[in-house]
Amino acid sequence: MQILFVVALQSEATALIKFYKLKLYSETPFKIYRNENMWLIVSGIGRINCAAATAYLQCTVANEQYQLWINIGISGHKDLDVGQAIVAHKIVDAATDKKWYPPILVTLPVQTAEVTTVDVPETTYPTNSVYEMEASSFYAIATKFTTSEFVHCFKIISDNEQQHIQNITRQKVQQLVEQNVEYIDDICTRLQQVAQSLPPKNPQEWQSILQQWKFTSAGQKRLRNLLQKWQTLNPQHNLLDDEMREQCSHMKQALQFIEKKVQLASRETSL
Amino acid sequence: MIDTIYIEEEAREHRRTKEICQRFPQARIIFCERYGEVFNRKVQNFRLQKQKPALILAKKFQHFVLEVPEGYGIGAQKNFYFSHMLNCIYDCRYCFLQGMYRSAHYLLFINFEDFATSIEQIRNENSTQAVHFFSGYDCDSLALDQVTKFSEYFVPLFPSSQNAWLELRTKSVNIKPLLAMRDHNCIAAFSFTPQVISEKIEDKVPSVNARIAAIEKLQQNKWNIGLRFDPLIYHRDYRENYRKLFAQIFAKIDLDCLHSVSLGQFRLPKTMFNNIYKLYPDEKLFAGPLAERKGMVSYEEDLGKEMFEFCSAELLRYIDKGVFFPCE
Repeated sequence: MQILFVVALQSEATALIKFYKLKLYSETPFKIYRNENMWLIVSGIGRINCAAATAYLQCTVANEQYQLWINIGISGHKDLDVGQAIVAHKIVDAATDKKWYPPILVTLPVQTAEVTTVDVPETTYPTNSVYEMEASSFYAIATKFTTSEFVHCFKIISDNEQQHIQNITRQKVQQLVEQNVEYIDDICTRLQQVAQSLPPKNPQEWQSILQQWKFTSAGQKRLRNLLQKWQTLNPQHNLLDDEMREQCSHMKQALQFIEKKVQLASRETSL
Repeated sequence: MIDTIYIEEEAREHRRTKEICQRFPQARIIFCERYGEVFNRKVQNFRLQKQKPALILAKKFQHFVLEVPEGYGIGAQKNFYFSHMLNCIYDCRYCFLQGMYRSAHYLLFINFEDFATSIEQIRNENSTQAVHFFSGYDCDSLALDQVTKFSEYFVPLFPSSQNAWLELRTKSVNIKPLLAMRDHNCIAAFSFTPQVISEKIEDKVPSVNARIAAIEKLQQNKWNIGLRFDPLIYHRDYRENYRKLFAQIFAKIDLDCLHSVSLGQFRLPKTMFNNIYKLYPDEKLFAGPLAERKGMVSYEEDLGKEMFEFCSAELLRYIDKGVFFPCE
């Protein structure tokens, strides 16, 4: 599973870069860091920056695996302690009043809360919501690329009625993320385990058969379907062998060959 | 069991909502304006949500009771169904709910009283004939009964002195609340596939033996029993396994309590099948000998017919034609 982090500030990114040993991948228009399976983009503050960065990151990465998108950032709340982290169970966009409800599939190491995205920092905390500036646009865009169960917002309280927003420093932000990085990692691990219950995005032999013959897009669709069925019925047996290579000289013959094999196997199924 | 409860604003102050929430003191409560904001949203994955469904408590506003599609009856001319709940705690791979709804959360409509009003109205409109009401199309009637108190509310609405009958379609063995109920026109209808198949494609469903034991208890308490072999599931040894299943069940069935037996092929509308296949491309059931005919996906014609005829003949060794309702 590919994990994609979106943060607004470089100081929010620092602890994650260190923890996951991410390397700088590109600098413009957004700073992007990565390792083998993880990507991190620094979006800048606010809904528009975040939407743009989320979309940009999706275009940058190859999308051949399941993706887990997480927006990490600081936030304010009336009375939650500074340093406490939450996962959003409801996201409200204050400007449009649109709402989202991220489905929570795993037991979380932190509480959940309603998160309200605002366009200017909220210093009066009028409701019991956690206030921040990116979650709604992040969620709206990231759920275009993956299912909502794999899109989450992790927010760390940086200010409340007692500790004002003006006192936040870069070092403080860095420290807040550092304190919570193990929780972030725990959530990623749990969701990765959930993703393991899903079948691979491409069936076995997909690439090797595509390389062997030319397939139209309708042919590819049919091939995917047949390969999936073959793999389900006969997980131990490969289709592409000398017999198939000899008998098939083009797409149509290859599809007929596989179809016949699947048909025979399907009646022998014992579930 | 339930970690998250979404509560629709309209349902917030309802007595039933408060009672249900009290059963789950640890659950996170999330309020929403309308249940559709959670339940009908796009980009949800039913398969993933099935791993940890939430409970949604909402109010239904219309279409409380609907007419049953033709061919699904068990003896009455007028047949209706109603769904106090959408989705099910069991995970049966053939179930159409997977292809019908975007979300696997359990959606419970808490305004039972409005369903009762509709039922009453239909009963009065058809006072000269038997009317059948089916529950358990969009959920299992009894599986979440401890939480919903569905049977406690609805069974007394069908007294034996009146013309309306209620079928509780279930795979649950949660029958304790039913045992004390008397003088009603209700049928406890249990669905079965052979045990070897149930273990493969009916996750969390009680064993065949446990369901038979539940039937025995209900019979002792004078309940009408229904047996539902729908859908029939093809597998290499289907003859042997269905023969064994029928023998196992009818060894314990009191024919005086047997209300009806129905049989149906595995069949799904094409669009629903495609939705389900996208979720479970790795499922053996869907790699089986299926074919599309007239917008429905079912077993290849000769195979489906052969299975149906075999199972019909086997069942008719035990029961009269009068209680047999094949759904072709």
